[in-house]
Order: sequence, then structure tokens, then C-alpha cells
Amino acid sequence: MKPHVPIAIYLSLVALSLAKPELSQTVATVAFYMALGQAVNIFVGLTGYVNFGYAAFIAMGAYGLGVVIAYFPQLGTWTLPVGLLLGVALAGGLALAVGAVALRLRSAYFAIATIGINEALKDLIVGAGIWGGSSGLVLGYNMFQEYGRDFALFLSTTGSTVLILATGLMAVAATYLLQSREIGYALAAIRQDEDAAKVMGINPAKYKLIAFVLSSAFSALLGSAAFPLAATQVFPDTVFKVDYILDGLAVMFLGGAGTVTGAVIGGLLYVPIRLLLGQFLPAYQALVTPLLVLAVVLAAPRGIIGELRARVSPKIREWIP
Amino acid sequence: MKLLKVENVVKKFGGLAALQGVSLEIDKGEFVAIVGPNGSGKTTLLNVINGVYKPDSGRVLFEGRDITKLPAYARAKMGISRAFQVPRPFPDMTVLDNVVVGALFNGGLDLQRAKEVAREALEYVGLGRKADELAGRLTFNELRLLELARALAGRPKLLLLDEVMAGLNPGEIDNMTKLIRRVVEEKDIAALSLVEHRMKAVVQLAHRVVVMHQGKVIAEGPPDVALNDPMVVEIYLGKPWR
Repeated sequence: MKPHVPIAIYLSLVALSLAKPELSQTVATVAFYMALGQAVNIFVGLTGYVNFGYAAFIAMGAYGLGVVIAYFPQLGTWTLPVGLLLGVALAGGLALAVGAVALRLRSAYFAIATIGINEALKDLIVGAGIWGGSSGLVLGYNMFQEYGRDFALFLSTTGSTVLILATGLMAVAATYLLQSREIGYALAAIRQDEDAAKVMGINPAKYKLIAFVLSSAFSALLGSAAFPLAATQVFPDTVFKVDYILDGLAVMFLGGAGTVTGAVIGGLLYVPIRLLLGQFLPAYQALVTPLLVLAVVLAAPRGIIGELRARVSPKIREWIP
Repeated sequence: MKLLKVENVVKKFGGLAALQGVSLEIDKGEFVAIVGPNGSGKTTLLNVINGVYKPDSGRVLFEGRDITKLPAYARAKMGISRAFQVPRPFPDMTVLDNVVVGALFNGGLDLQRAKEVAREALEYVGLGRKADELAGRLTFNELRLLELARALAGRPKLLLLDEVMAGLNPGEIDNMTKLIRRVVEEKDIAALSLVEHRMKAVVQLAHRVVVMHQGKVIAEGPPDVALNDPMVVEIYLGKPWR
């Protein structure tokens, strides 16, 4: 397996956003879906389990950085690394807690169990009025104080775009490394026949949990980049949105579940497809995602990269992992 | 010390007692055939031994250690391998990678060594030239051989064979018999083989035969003795063995 193609795509997007700051917003949108698809792929694509709780991980990332910026201004620029780490820790902790219990369930039951997580956390934040409650966290003023005007503006534009791209790139590397090591064999075995895998010495709960926590951490970084950093605010209604998992699944299935390159290609295509269809059928844009997922799953269940891999020679297959 | 000791195992499914106090011992290097009609409890016993089911009462000991409560994957790591009756390959993996899974997790090898062992195991069962094909494309006979290769790559101390001859044609049975004879002679591993059909092929390899009926062991001993037991003839075979 050679991961050059997906890495090259990510690096050229990084170069593009640095060279042309005016395109940064567009690149960020595309990259967000690429990276989201990749994060979803690490768990859903590699294990075959579906998690509807991704918005909760994104929200944990958003709140992690948001809370540090809002409540610890004395940390100055340190709020950035500390906030990112807190977001990852919150999401990872949540994944660990939920996964340790719910990953004992088989796939459909697990999916149902995860639906409740988003709503429960959102209700907790709004109901108990913690972390700004329903009025959210508005961070512009604090960011100017902590980072200085110029750096704050850079962070909310190019900076957040680069963070999204870096997250996607790390997720690509993680997918690649997982697949080329022992754990990749374990996950593939679990995905295809969990009972047989168990009899062969694989502890399914352990490997599923590793993939789940990794996937949650990348989702959290995306949440940090997209909300406190880029939008300079965190509102419960925008971060806890079930749409994210639907988008992530659409990107992953479009490109090819369980592959390294799939989510990269899926993400590159997903945004233009939504834009185009949105222009012709503006009232029905929300319908696009589910219909797209349905069409891909029915017509080409392996996705673009999956179908390609099945058709090309082993030599070329090496290049589209 | 016995390699495997099953003590008074009871397993019920609702009102049905699939195992009603079964005891069994296997020595190192011994080949034991469990014979019995459909529904006699053979497969349940195998599932209790490798941890798919937990018994309602009784114990399972492996190398002197009580493994009754251990999950299947932990038992696999201790040296118990299983070849399923209905082959269960990972269809989207190559044949080689299927066997690598066995070598990695059942056998506890590192990836490099696991790949070598997997190749050897495939050559051993005669599937070497199919290594790079997807497992989902194999014929039934080849899947059987893949099951065996995967189990052997796990370097087991105890090999559980579930009806390895079922569904094979006479030529394939011949080949499988030779292969299992080789395994038993060369590899110094104990094997427990379930047999319902194609009895002759497996029984001629066995050191000992255990006959089960309605969740109980009704006869046990060298093949000729166990299978000529009057009760076995009466309720299972219909006419004397040989």
C-alpha cells in the first residue's frame, strides 16, 4: 500500500490555502467534509459499526477549546494548545465511557444506543446552564485579548483551515497505519465475521474501542477548528447537529468505506455535488445527502475507490489504498 | 497432566438439556473422535470447550488451568484452534491474509513471522497457489482446506475439527484424511474431531472414540470397542461396526 495520493491531495490543499488566503474559506469547507469522512471511516468503515453520536464528539472539541478561551484568558496563547487537548480529551473520554459499555452490543443495537448521546449532552448543557447554556460561548473579544488582533484573525481564517487539513492528514495517516498493522487484520476480521474473529483469538471489544476513541479524537479536532476557531463562537444548536454523521457517512460511502483514499475523493466531490444540486433544487438541498447515500449504497456499495480497486491490476491497487 | 479435561458439564437451552453431565479427557498428541447423531450434543460440547458457550455447571480445564469462564479469544491465545463445520472465511481478505489472522492472534506471532507461517500453512494443506486470491472465491473444498490452514497457523496444542469431511466428495475426503493423518503424526498436537457423517474416514485415524447420545457419553474407548458397544449399535449404527 502506498499512501502518496491522499497525502499529496492534502498537502496541495494546505499549499493552496496558504498561498491564496481568499480561497481559505472554500478549502476549509471541502476539507471539513474530507476530514469528517476520514474520521467516520476510521470507526464506521473499519469496524462496520455505525455511530450516530459523532456530533457529540464534534461538540466536545468545540467546547473544549471554547471553554478554555472563554474562562482561562490568563493562559494567553496557551489557550490554543490547552483547549485543543481538552477537546480531544473530552471526546476521547466520552468515547471510552460510551464504547466500554455500548461496544459490547452488536452493530444495530450499538447504533441505537449512540443516538441518545447527542441529545443527552445537549440537554445537559442547555438545561443545567453550564458552559454558557443555551446562549453559548461568544469568543471574539477573548480571542483578540489572548492572541492579539492579527493572530486572532489569522487563526479564524487560514489557521482554522490548516488545522482542518492537518486533522484530515493525521486521520489519513492513522487509517493507513491501522490497516498495515496487526490491528488492521483484527478490524477487518471483526467487520467480516465477529464470532469467527473471536474464536481466532481476537478480542473484538478492545480493537473496536481503539478505533472508536481515535475516530472521536479526530472529530473533536474538527469541532475545535470549525467552531471556536473559525466561527469564534460555540452554540449548542450548531455543534450538536445529527447532520454531521449523515455528511460523514455520505462522504465515506461515496469514496469507499474502509479504504484510505475513499474519504479524500468523497469529500472533494461531496461539496460540489451539494452546491450544484442546491442551485437547481434549492428547496430540496436537505434531501440530497440521504438520497446520495442511498444511491451509492445501492449502485456501488464499495464506493468510487472500492469499485476502482476491484477493477484495476494489483500494481495500480497499491497506489489507491 | 491432561491437556484438556471436561468435568461434568451441563448446558441447557431453555428446557432442553443439550449436555447432561459430560466428562472428557484428552492427552497431548491424542486424536479423539466424538461420534453421535444430530442433536446428541457434540457441537454444544465443542462450543463449551472453546468458549462460545459458558456451561451452566461443570468445569473445563486446559493444561490444568480452569478456563470455564474465559472468553473464546483468551482460549484461542492459550492454544485452542477451531476449524468450523460450515467454513467461515473472511471473504474480502485474500486467502493468505485469512491465515495470517490465525497466525497473528491465535498463534501470537508478530506480523512478519505470521506471514511466513501463513505461507507454510497454505503450502502444507496444498493451497499455496491460491494465496493471493480473495477467500470469497474459493470452492467449498478449498474453503475446508483454508479452515484447516488457518487453524494450523495458530500453532494449536488442541485442534478442534468440526465435521471436516461433511460435504466433500470421495476424492476430497481421501485427501483430507491423508492431510489430517499427517497433522496428527507430524505436528504432535491433540485433536478433537466431531463426526456424524463419513464416520469411517475419521474413525480410522482416531486413537479413541467417544460416542454421544442425547447429551450424554454412552460409550468410550478404542474405535473397535466403542463402536461395537451394544447400546451404540442399537441406538446409532443400526448394525455392528465391522
